[in-house]
Amino acid sequence: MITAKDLEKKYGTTCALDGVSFTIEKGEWTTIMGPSGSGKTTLLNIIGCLDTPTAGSLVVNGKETVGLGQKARTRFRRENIGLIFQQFHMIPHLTALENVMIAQYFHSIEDEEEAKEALQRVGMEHRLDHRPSQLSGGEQQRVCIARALINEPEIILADEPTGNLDKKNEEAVLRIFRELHDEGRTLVIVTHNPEIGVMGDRVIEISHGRICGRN
Amino acid sequence: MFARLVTKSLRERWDRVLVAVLAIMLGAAMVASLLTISFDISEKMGGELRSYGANLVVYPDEGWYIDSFESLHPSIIGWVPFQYFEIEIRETKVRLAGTDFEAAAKMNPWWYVEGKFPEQGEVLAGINAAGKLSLEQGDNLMIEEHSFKVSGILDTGTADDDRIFLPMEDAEKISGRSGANTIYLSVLGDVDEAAGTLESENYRVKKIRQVADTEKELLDKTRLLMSIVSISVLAAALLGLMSTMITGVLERSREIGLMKSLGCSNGRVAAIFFAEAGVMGTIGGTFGYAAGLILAQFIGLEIFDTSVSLKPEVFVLTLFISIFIALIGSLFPVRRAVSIDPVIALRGE
Repeated sequence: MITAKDLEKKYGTTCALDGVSFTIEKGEWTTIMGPSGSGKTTLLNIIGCLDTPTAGSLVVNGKETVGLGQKARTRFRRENIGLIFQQFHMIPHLTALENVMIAQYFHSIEDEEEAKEALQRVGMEHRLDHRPSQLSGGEQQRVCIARALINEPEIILADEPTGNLDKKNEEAVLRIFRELHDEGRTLVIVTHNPEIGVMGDRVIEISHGRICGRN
Repeated sequence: MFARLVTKSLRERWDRVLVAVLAIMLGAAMVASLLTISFDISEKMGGELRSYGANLVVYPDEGWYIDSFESLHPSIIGWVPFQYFEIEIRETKVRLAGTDFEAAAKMNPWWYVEGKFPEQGEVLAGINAAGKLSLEQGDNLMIEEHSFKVSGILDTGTADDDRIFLPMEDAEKISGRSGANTIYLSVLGDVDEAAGTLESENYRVKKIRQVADTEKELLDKTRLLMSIVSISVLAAALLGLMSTMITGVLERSREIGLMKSLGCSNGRVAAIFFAEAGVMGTIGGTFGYAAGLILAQFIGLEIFDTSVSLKPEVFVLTLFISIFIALIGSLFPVRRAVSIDPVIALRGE
């Protein structure tokens, strides 16, 4: 599903990723772990076509994404990737339902019923018309998960998805991830929470831009 | 969804949007009033200016007099007959002018008369002539064997101040000649064509260049002044809108970054911002048109003493210019919006 070979990312003289190679199979739950500044988020951004590597090769869902132009990367991301962020990131003046529908709109056409179902799935059917400012952190993250799932992406990428959540909401979010894994979705989750690490199929550990351990 | 995105975003930032709309509205008001003045008042103004004097003079052949004159061309909107001749009064050479006072007053509304226009047996003395002959209003003046009462003193600031005006019949009695030797005409429309028609009727015709030129010059200058003001206000509106949009882009960079990370194309980001600008242009243009109409009405009434009428084409043009300005003003902010890197924007940098 995802094959990275000798990925390298340099910012001037700073090397964020240095010769990173790995393979992630379809339906696998991979957790990328490592200390702050180790290059986890950079790696996730490159897999999600938000960023480009300086060198190396990355085949995602059968397509070499290194060398794609900005337009092609946007299209690829739209059609293959579902993104979940630590800071949730919602459009503040849109309701929960509209925040999900916007992903449909950018992908193809919006379908309100489908969006409602996605929110129902994450237990947010009672908050459809609420704005982000009226939702708790856990609720916002669940809306973001619904938004990431709405276009049925092959791969779900999550950057510290429980980093800003309390224990209760963390459990709710992880339960959704488990369900997605059981459905056979490919999950790549960046975290430095070891509890999440043990829940996945495998862990890739990164330090100073290099893979320093995997299991 | 597109409409929802645009309207909700505008509603969210209503205070900034209001500033941009007001800027466009001011520009649109100037454009609308300029266009209304150009389309509507210009012709009325032409008529107005022409009524402030003649633009054509007609003479008969040397030694002849015109007994009756007819309007030979539809552009001729008025005429005044004069019989000019020189006579000696109290050993001073004075130029007399017999005329039809009703027509003369209409064609020369700036004539300042201290007293009143003369009737039969009365004269109107030009201020210089009155000075030479020591005449005052109410005095009696003997011209040859005829006695006249000075009904008023005329002050025009022109050569007419050296003349003594009297009713045509009285002038004819004194000169012993019947008819006019000079006719001043007001022509509204093609002066050359009217002159041609009169010439074909064996009249000698002279265009009063100075008046015609001044008239055109004043029209052009009014338009030029309004154009300069309009362009300046439009430029200010453009800058106002641009700064509002740039601030909006900076404030919304995280939102733009999020949209891009969700797969929103650059074209769609640009479309959202252009649509927002288009809405601001439309609202500003519509209200600006209404304000411009009030301004044009004010200018019309205060300066040209005529009211203006609603012109649909002015509304369409004003709206078009407002939207165009709004879109031009958005070019730079939109370029900035599409160049936002989602990774950096979502990091909050």
